[in-house]
Amino acid sequence: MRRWFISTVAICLVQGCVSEPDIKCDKVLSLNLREVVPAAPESVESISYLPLETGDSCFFRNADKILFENNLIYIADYRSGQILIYEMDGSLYAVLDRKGRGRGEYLDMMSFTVDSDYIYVLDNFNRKIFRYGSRDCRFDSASDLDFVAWDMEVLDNGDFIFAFSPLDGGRLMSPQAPGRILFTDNDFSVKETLLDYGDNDYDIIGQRRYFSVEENRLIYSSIYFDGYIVFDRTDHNCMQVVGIDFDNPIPTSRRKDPSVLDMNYNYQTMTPIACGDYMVMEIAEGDNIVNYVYNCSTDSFSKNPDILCRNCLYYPIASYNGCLVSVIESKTVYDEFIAAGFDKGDSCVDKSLEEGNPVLLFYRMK
Amino acid sequence: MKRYFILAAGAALVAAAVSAFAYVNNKENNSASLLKANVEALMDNESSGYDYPDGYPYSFICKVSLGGGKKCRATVVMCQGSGTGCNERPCPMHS
Repeated sequence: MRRWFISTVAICLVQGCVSEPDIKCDKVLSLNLREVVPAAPESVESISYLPLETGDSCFFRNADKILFENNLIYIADYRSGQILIYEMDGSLYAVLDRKGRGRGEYLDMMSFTVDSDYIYVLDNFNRKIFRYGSRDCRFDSASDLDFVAWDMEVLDNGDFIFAFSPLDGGRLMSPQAPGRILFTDNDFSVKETLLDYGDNDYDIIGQRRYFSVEENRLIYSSIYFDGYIVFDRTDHNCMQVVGIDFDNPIPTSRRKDPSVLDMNYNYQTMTPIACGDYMVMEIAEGDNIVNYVYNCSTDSFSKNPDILCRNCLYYPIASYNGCLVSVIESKTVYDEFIAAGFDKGDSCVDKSLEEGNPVLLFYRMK
Repeated sequence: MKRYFILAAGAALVAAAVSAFAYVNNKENNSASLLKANVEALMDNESSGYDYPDGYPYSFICKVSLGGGKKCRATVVMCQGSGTGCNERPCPMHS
């Protein structure tokens, strides 16, 4: 009964956000992109760089997900099937690289999460979760999954939250619990679902990340609705549904038409990153993806100026200890930033980028 | 006696010929069946036209650096398991 009530309330709230913005969500943010002031860099107190060491045993192509746990930095590159684990000083601590067909090996890494004991790797080809030691990367066990999922996070009580959306052109081989959000116990048995979908429902596009985390806050979004849900990791029944009222949203009647992606509608392309009072969003504006920063304390949005300048926000991917975290992937990008007025890092930053290693950029927020 | 011997030899010869014919014919049928199955399997793969016949097309937006601190979007399709057919469309930036 409680589960039914929570599901129904959440669906009603979200349906309300999508189709009729005047129906009350927990909160609705009005975002008229043309009126947003280009003052995002003013929210940044300082920046710092962290060059990341790589080695012969690992090949870093893209940072798909970054988690800060156990006083370590876990960076997943899904395409190469690796999780690189760093000390907080950027030195390489360990590498989880177990792509293969043998015991304890995953065929594909769709997502991962980590807690104090284990790294959990989601493999949809094997329909399993692989569990490895959070520090030594030693294989512990593999558990069967009776669903496919796109992203996962661990909750404070040891349960898990998964995200799935039926996508345009996709058909599952076998049916599964029809929730966009699935809560499981620590054996990955589904306990509860939210935002249930029907047989003919689908989203026109997925997201590379459906969850972001900041301390006890766990944020979810998908193109299913303009907005996001903030869960409390210590009690997932405690949540806030926030709608975003764009001035040019995808019309409700066209939410299943993939051609709208190439039109000039506004929608989120990624789950927002929370950092203290700030919520950083990635919004599609034509062919571009633009960062918008919502300041909860002033209830206002800001964005970067049109021309790159000192402390512009560069697509943050994570949040840690009052800082937004971005990845500088090349020396070209770094040189542009320095030319635009960013503080210069020490010689290690140049050296690291010249060697093809990435650098983390920390924005300490005011 | 001689007549019986000739008749028995003839019957044995006929039986051997029939057995040989049946064996060869059956072998040809088996080969034909195997060949047919292989062709059908190849045709199935070709007619499905999927890179991953049991894949699920997971689409998302990949960010491509434009310079000047800006990125544009490219729609990417990555095949996941447990589906009924998928063709990949890799990211131009990160493939």
